Amino acid sequence: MTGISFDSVSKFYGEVVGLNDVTFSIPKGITGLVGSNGAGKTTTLKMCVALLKPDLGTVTVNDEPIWGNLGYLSRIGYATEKDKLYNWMTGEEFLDWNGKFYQMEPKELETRKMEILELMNLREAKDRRIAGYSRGMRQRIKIGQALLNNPDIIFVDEPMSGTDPLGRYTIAETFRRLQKEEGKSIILSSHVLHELERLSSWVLVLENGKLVAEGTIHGIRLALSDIPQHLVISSPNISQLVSFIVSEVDELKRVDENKIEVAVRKRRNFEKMLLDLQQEKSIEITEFYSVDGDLSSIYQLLKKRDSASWRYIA
Amino acid sequence: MSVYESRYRPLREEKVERAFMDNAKIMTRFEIGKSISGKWSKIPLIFAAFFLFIALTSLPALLILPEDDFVTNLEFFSSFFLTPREGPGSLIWLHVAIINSGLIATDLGDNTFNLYLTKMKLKTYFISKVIASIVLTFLGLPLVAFAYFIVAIYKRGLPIFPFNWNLIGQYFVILSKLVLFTIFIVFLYSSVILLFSAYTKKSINAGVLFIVYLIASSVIFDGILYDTTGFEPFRLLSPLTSMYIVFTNFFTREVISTGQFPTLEKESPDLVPYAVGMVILYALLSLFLTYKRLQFLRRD
Repeated sequence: MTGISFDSVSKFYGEVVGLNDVTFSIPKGITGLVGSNGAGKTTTLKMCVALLKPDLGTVTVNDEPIWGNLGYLSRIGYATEKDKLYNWMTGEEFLDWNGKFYQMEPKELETRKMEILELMNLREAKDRRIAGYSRGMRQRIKIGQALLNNPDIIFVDEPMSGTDPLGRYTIAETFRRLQKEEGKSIILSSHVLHELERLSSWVLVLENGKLVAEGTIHGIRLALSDIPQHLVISSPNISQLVSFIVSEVDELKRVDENKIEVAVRKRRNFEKMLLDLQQEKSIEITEFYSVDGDLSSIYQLLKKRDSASWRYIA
Repeated sequence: MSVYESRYRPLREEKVERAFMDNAKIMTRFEIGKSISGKWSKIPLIFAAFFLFIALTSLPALLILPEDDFVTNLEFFSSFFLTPREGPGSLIWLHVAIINSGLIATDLGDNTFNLYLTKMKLKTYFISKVIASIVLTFLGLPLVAFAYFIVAIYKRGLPIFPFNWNLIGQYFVILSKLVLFTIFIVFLYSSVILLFSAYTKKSINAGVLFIVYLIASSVIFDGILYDTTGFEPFRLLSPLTSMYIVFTNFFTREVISTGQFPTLEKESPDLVPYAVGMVILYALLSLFLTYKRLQFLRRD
């Protein structure tokens, strides 16, 4: 774990509930925060970086409170959602200025700055004013400043917002490299669910200030056992296959001559049954995939539920 | 082993203290540099230099005056730059409105406020802004007042050879008055402008609000309410009038040898302690409200 834990945390903005009695721990790796506008993603991130204090409950790191913990703050990086920065500064000046707050030696800061410009693919643009940067470049310089102190944990709010495909690729690759090669933990919030799905090893799904699901994407979908999962199966022996599985599925429809779509509640049992059929009855299966197992579909399923009455942990 | 546990090294207490102080110093220096190098910041600085130049050109006439007249005129001309309302007063507002107005507003406009708060405590941020505001306010006419005072006594000849205790004492009194009133005026202006700066994302709005507030409160409380009712405490509700009351009672301004300037009467002498209290209250209230506003903005 990253050591960051939320214990029965609530946050109120007047009469509006920002977070409602949430409890979770953030694991190491890349964690995605998923939720619609006002779900509590930014509130969660702000609490993680000690910008907000919970009204109820505690946010701790290794059992120490985060609030006012300068030791902790010196080892995290944070990139805000908004990308308007000091436009009159050049990219290099912006990094230089932010680096001054970490009590780094000038030589160390210089080296680190160049590493980050290289990492964020901004070396060529380092002497240009931020005002002249594209949206993607602004995102990258903003993320770059969050890496100056070589943090152990990096919090990034909407990193893909407004970026072009190349910018998204650069940012996604940077996060992957930081996690794989340097063992950093990264906590991202994003509306771009397919990017988040590709990056995150763990997701926290928030809705109306409540944590409605946490786990791996596959795990959350499996935990949604009361909602049938839609699976597509292709087989040259499709009629034979249907005769075996028809009693085990909630729905079955033929997609084409050799392909069917089924709805099942207990996917693990169903997968085991298919495996048995392959081995014992020699039924060949050429294609097998879930049509609603991606993060976007899961999120849509979760949104339809009454978030007050359930929570999925997988 | 978890990533965090393997790398987490709490800062030692003294290093945390150092970080607090270092960041405050870095931030203050940055703000002063940024504010002075702003597009419009040169204007009040040029005006201040111009004022000093004009004052210095009239200095030779003062230098030939008898000792007592010289001292009186020295106090008059040095304190002239600190006049809260008439003459140079408007230049002080302009200076503060232009140079100090972006201290918090630009951070809000550029979305760097939250970025700073992940690198330092809110207290560090706040203290840096207050110090920067005080220094920037001082760099205008208050600095000119001190410059004039020093140049005048230097040109007149330092009363050291031989020692003239009486003259040294008189200089000391004037200097003390200048220091005290400078603290007074700088404290008020630098606090009030911070409050307005914390309520907008554009420095120009903060500057305009600052000037409108000073003038409007003076017109409403001193010009309208006091004039129509004759009830003196109304005057205290205007920070400018409160400062003016203190100013006219604090500095000796009756004897003007050159005859070019009208003698200023002491305004409402009975109200002086209250005026001092009100100015301090305005400044402290502004600082308190600014801090509260920053706390609120952090949640935004």
